[in-house]
Amino acid sequence: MLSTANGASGRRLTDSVHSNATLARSSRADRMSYALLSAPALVVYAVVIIIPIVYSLALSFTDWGGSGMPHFIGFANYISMFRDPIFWHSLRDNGLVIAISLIGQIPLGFFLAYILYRQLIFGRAFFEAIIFFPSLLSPVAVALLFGVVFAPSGLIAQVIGMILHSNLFELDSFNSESTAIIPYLIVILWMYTGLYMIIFLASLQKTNGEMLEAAVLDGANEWDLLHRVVLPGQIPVFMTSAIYAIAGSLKSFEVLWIMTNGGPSYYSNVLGLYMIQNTFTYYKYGFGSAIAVVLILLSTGLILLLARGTQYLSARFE
Amino acid sequence: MSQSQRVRAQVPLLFRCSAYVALAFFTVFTVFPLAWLCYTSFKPEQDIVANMIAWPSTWTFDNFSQAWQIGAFPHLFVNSILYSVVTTVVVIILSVAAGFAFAKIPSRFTRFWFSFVLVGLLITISSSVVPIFVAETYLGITNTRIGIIIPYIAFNISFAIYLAWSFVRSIDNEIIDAARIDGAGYIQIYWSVVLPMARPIVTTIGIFTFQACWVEYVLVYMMSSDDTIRTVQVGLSMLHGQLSYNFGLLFAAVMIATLPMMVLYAFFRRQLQAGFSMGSVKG
Repeated sequence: MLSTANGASGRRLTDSVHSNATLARSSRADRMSYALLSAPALVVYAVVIIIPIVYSLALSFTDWGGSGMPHFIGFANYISMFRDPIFWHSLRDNGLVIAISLIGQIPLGFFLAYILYRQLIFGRAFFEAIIFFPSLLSPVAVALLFGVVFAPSGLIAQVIGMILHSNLFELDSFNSESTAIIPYLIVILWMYTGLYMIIFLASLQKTNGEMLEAAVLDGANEWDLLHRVVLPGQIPVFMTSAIYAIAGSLKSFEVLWIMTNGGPSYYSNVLGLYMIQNTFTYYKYGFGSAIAVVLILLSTGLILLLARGTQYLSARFE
Repeated sequence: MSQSQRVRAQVPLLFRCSAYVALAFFTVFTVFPLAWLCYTSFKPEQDIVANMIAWPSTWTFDNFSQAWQIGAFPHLFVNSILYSVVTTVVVIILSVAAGFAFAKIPSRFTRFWFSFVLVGLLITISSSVVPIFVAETYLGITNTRIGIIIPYIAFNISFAIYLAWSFVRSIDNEIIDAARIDGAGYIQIYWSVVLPMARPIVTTIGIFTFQACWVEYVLVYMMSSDDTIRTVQVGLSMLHGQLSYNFGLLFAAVMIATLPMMVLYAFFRRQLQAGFSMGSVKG
């Protein structure tokens, strides 16, 4: 899964020869060094990431409110979550966030990368630097900037007002239950398309030039090159990108937190925010943990599904 | 670079148009908000009130000097730099060690531990802030610097190990064998052979980790009830309520908080791109 972005640089033959040779003289001291070298990283990782997640799983079956003894309440947290309309709305908004990543950021990132890689336009380094930059910004900075952009009398309202010649124009299109998430979708398109462009650019650099040359000799034009020669080779990168997009979209909520805090009402809520609100605003730690568990299960499930789907498809078409 | 970029093919008109339109549109879409942010932060308040979009009539640093004071940035910068630098150094040392062990020391445990580490690539701070908060409350280390740095290390180590492993794997075995024949143990080899050789990947890991720590917000916000241990990002988010009426000031604060990223980008764009293109989980 991960080696795809890195190019399929498989282990060299010498590696296995080497390991057999040294395995024979692998001593007690070597095993000791192995442990000493790898243990510190593994311990920090396990203690901070794995143990709390397991603990959180246990907590999700309790009514713990932050102090006192937790009481076991079975699946009650999960049941009340599934009965909560805010949960379903947050899930719907999360679905839209994933959708915009999959049909917006990734294809657009690929297309931009292709244009730059093929040097169809002069000044590649300039465009590369500009479009990638937003993905390095802090979520707080981005949220503050776009908070003003989308505010009722913010930048967009002013621009529209200028066009309509009315300086009292107020932007209220994003106040309704169904549209409140749209500004955020635009923001993540702005912020992360460049990231996917960079991923595709790195992988396109490894495309075999002779293949392109041969295709051109056969009379292929640029469009043929794109969709017949280059695109098939990029399918694994699309899949890895999709996995990153799903994992990232389900979990990130920082920008939204500061930009709208899920509002107006709960209309722009996502699951991550729903988790934070229940835990830190209402002190429902058990309930918050249950949301965390659902989040982790959802993203693992979707990723496994995607990986399976890819396997199935590539088995069918090869 | 490969020669493939130089292979010229006939470009159909429709294709050429859509390429130009896509790139032009997306560049403007990217640049315009940033440019607006930038020039508005130099704009006097009465200019902003009069016209939000217009270019400043006079350029002023007043917004910056005021934002610097209101935001109490000096100690926030100290904290941000402290957390980012300590995390980066520890992550480099630990990840290259583990990456080296996984790549070059034969062991039947590698398969298991390495997959165990890779699971961490899919877990972000925001998805496990609740469990971590609970654990830190239990240990009594919320609102302490160590309670921030340790999670930072943990959340950056998976990807760093992966990067280190893929680099160390490509180091020639003969170099390591030669050192072994000279009687060096693996730990000695790590310190005096692998770590110096791994300088390119160490730079990538370092820059990447530093960036991730610098922009992190959720964990510090949750763990800190005390202003003295907060970071630039948390300070910035708190200005939101105070300054939302005066966004010349607000944008100056955003610029101040973003300046280190701009400098980093100017000098290390290649390393950042390399890190990101090897796969990191973002929205």
